[in-house]
Amino acid sequence: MSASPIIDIRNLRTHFHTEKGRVTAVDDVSFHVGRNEVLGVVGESGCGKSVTSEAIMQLLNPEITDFEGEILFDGENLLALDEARLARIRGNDISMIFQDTTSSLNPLYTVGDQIIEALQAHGRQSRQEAARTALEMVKATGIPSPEKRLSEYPHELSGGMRQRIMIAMALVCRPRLLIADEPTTALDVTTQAQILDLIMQMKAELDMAVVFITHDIGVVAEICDRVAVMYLGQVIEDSTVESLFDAPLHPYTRGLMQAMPTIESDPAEDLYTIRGRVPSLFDVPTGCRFAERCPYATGKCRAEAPTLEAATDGHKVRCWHWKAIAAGEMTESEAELQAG
Amino acid sequence: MIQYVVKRILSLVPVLGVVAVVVFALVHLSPGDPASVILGPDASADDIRQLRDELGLNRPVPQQFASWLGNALTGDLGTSIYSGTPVTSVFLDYFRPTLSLAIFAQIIGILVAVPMGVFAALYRGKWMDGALMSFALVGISVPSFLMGLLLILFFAVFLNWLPVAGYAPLSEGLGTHLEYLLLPAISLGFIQAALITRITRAAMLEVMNNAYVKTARAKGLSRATVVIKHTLRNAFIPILEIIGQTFTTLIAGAVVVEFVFNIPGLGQLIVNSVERRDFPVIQGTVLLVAFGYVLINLFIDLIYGVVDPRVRLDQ
Ligand SMILES: Nc1ncnc2c1ncn2[C@@H]1O[C@H](COP(=O)(O)OP(=O)(O)O)[C@@H](O)[C@H]1O
Ligand SMILES: [Mg+2]
Repeated sequence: MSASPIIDIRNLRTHFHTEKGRVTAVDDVSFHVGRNEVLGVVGESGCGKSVTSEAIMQLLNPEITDFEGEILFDGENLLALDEARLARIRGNDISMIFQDTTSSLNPLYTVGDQIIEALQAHGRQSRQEAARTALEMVKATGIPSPEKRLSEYPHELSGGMRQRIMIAMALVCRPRLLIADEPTTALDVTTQAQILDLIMQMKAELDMAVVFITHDIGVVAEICDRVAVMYLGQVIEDSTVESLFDAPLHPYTRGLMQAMPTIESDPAEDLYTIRGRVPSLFDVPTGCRFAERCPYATGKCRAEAPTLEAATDGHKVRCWHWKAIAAGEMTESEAELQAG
Repeated sequence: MIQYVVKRILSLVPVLGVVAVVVFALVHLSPGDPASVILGPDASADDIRQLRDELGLNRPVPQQFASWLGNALTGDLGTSIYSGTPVTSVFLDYFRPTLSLAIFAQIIGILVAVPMGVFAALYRGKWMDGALMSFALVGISVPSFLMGLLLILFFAVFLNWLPVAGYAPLSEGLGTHLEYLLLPAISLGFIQAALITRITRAAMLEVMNNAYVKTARAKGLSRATVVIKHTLRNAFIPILEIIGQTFTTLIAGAVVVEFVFNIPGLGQLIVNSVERRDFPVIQGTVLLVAFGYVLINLFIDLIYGVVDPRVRLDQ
């Protein structure tokens, strides 16, 4: 993993022009993904995970979006490419799968047609060859009676099957990077586990890197090598999975972990929730963005924004007090007050 | 698919039944006695009574309806009181020009409007969108008779490129036929185009928000493929719906345009027949137009089935 990363995002900012003014949905995000590595991107809904991934794919409407920074894919800045070049990269070198399983496939075409179309957009394969490749790919996803499925329309398949088809479609050109934006959120628990297994199996087979986006920190522990935790458009902690679960440094990450249901947790008892709500993009705090909700927040936190600093080798955190918190020198005074 | 077609056709039966009742009732409940109109103001009461007998107007209304409906089901809509020819053949004579006009206008409307709507949607909020939508607004606001008169003035009188008015049947050659129909079809198609442009734009904008359009882009498809194959085709479903729904307004508009261009179409037939109290022709024409409307909608439903597998497969 010492080789250059497949994707290297440097100080990415994404601004949207809205009717109510300009908002910065992604504010100085940097992370990289090594070849063959799985990076988890975690955070509550609305923290900028989808915007970041669609910025990588350049799927955002350029009319209302401005970017700053760099997204280096294999050394090439995606933000500087023209539409034709991007179209050759999309689906071929970088693929994406989405959360929504009901409408991510076009209802008017058979799933087979839609997979073949992805192949033919990038290859010089004949339709017959493409159909064969598509069938192999769908077989590999473990769908029962794959031949029959290919001639079916999306509405004839279950949510889990549609997500398998989406995966087959995304991977049929053997991309080097897969971006999976909450691919299991819309599915039931059993199907979720199957889809996760499938993604990991494909990752091994195709030797690709994965950016796995989720709001479920539990999933991260299972499949990721490294994790970037996002909060209100920023990365607030970036670490290997081991280091993060051993010793989460940011109070937000600690909160996410406490809020995670475990096998031992009593379903009758309410799970821990982080108090308060994510501030609006129109009302971004001047200091630390998490300060209002943080049990350790001090005056400094509210006044000055911390930067992402290296705590240990390969573990970065954006918090003024991470050292004191880790050493147990600060207590969750307000949090206890809240709970009592 | 066959099941779908049969089901659609069966569902038309009650619609046509209601139409038959309404048509009959309208004609028979409206004031004006056909016999006295036909015989003129000087006719004697005896003559009038005798003609009413011949026309079957003295029988109880339900009985009249039953025999009319019974004959209609066998394809016999009676004979015209005025000309003595069968209503069906009178209808067909006058229907052909109207049908030609409506189809031609519809084609012009669709050919102009769909690309306009697509571009307006793609350039939403830009000057292109503004220009196209203002054009559509003009199209909706200018009445077709005014449009017709302006077109006649410019292309027929001033430039002398096309005939001022009149009609040439298809038997005189397609070129001549279209030459006479072009201006009327544009006058009529303009409103239609305006309507379809708006629907196309709205439908495109709505479809563009769908996740599958994002998927299509994420696959690396070209912009043209994304727009045509993954957006326009889906947008066609509401567009078709509007085309079906506006069929009646199109026919109604055709009647006005026929008047301006002096085309012997259904408009003339209906106006003349009403003046003459030629009630078999009125009844027959309205019934057949309603039947045509129902057929068009059936046809459009069948196209739905072709375009949208969800319609075809869900019974
Ligand atoms: N086109 C847009 N215009 C304005 N704001 C947007 C747009 N797209 C996303 N946002 C905002 O950006 C923020 C991040 O959204 P998103 O990346 O979708 O969150 P998530 O982490 O749940 O995927 C949200 O506050 C959202 O409202
Ligand atoms: Mg999201």
